[in-house]
Amino acid sequence: MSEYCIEAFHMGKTYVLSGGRGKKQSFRALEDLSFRVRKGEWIGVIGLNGSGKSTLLRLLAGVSLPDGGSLTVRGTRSAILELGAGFHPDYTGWENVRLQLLLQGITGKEAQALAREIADFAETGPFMDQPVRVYSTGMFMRLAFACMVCRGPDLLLVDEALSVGDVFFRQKCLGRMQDLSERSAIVLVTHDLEAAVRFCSRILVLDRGRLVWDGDPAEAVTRFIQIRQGGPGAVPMREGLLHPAAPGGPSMHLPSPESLSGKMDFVIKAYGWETDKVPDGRYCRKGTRVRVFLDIYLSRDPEGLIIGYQILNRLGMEVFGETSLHALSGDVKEAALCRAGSYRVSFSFTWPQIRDGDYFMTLGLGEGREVLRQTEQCWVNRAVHFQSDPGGEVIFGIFNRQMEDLTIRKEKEDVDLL
Amino acid sequence: MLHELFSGPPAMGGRQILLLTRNDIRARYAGARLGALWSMALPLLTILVLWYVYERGLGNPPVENVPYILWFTSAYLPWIFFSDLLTGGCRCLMDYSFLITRIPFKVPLLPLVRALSALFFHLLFLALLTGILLSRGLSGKYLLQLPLYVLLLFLLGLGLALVLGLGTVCIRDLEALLQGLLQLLFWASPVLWNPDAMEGKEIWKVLSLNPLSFILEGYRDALLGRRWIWERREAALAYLVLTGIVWVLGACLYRKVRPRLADRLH
Repeated sequence: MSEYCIEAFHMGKTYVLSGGRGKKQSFRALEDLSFRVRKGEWIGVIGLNGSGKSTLLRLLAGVSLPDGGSLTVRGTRSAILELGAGFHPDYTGWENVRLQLLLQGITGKEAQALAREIADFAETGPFMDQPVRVYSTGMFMRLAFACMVCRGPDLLLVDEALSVGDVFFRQKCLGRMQDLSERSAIVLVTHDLEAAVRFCSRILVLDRGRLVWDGDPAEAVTRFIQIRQGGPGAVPMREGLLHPAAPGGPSMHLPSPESLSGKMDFVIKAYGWETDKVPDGRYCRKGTRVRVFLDIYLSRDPEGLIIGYQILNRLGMEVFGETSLHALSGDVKEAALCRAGSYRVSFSFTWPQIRDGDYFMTLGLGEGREVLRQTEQCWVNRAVHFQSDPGGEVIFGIFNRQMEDLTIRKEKEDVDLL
Repeated sequence: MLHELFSGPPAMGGRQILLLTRNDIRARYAGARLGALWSMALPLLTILVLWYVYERGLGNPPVENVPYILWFTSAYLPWIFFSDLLTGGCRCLMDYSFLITRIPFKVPLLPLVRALSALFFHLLFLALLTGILLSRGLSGKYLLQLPLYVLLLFLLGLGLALVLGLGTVCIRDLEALLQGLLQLLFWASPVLWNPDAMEGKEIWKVLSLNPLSFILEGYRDALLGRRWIWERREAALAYLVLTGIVWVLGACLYRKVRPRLADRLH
């Protein structure tokens, strides 16, 4: 048997929408997708809403059929598609579980034992005799998940399933999925980039029905962020980008075109940095002063200029960052009042005590007066690579927090008890 | 269609089909306290009302020495079975859309499961009626051909259920249309009235074309002991041809609709 459990070649899917009065419109949901998934591999699928993630999962689940190219799925598969997963709202928990098992070809004693296991895992206890329509979203999902993983399918398809349910159940699900991962391939469709990066060895990024990235998770997150900000291929080459950087000062670097994203009305022409006054320094530890220089060009008067940085870990998870909107000192007002033209920007921050490893700095210009309502104008994704060194200390978690006072006092009662 | 039924996991044996049928029977009145009992109670109520109106109220005389109510019921039972098969089949794909749109599922099983659950109740009723008829000495050796008529009705009903089920997914209006047609068909079928009384009249030329007449009269032949099926070979042949046509139509429709079925139901 082949080592791949999914093989898709130039797969496409068109939906025919009837627009009333006999008018028919077709909508191309997926276009020319080719990829393969090995047995036991964990694949993440990310993309904006409407990028075709759910359609892809429905095809993989065998519910819908592709109408172009070919798709081969080998082995048994279980799918947790949206909420519901083949549950009937009017049946009780037990009836639904029995139906699910029946459809997986499990009956009799084995089914009874498994049903009890499922109820235990899902922690739905007393509600198993109630119709599932009265279940809370979390309970519903737990039961569905438990049914799908009970028999360890060769391929498990999970659509946003883990976004419902509380943290503890999520942990439990992930644990169960990790148990399965020895034999099961898992395709995880999610908006939770962190989970995708943590668990998947490979991530597919979908953009408007096309596969734009298939590979390294951290790079996938960068691609995703670029798409969210207007698309990497769509970066217009503004004149400012072509201007040479101002001479002198620290050694400046030109951003590579692949790292850029945003609307590009304002651009970062060049950037440079120092760690404790070492130009292009790479090693940081607690207390290292990182200074960043940006040569920027504004093609028009901004309605509030925002300058920011973000430090991501090797998995693409955001660890810390700041924007000029919240900066405590410096020319904050100045930034807000900038007019069109070229500027040299400089800011600094102190490296915190964080876990050792590789970190990447993303630099960004935005426009707006609130962080959450800004237009991303120019981001240089993962521009600088730092290595953090704990300085001989052990980091308990992502970062350490000192105990501020510590006292140990002997209790007198202890002596009496002895 | 057959290829889908018999290929690939999960394997569906007879046992699974039976369990699915049991599930379907339970689900029909899921949430109601009396549950599946309603499937028995409702037709009985109708029969009771009609008995009261026709035999007590209007004083309909016995037909061929059989009390009117028993004569009527022996055709009414296959009628409700037929109408159950059609209405159930019409809705079955939509009722089970929670499966079709969520997991890979052997769709042709659904009309079959629905039809089997209708058959279950039909057999219960038939057993009841046969018991009454036997105890009164009204049935005899002709009863042996009853299973054949049940099978014939089941085959036509299942074929129509498949056509209607698939059709309703594409054109939702079919469900309402079916309700109307069933009303019409009820009065056009020899359930309440005696076909012997119609013979020779102008209207009989139209009514005798009704394929259900063959089955309903056949049930009476078997239950009330009138004649054997091979005494009406031509009608039987016509009925079989019709069943064949319905099945071919169903299979063609299935091939056409299946690829986008889940998308349509989604």
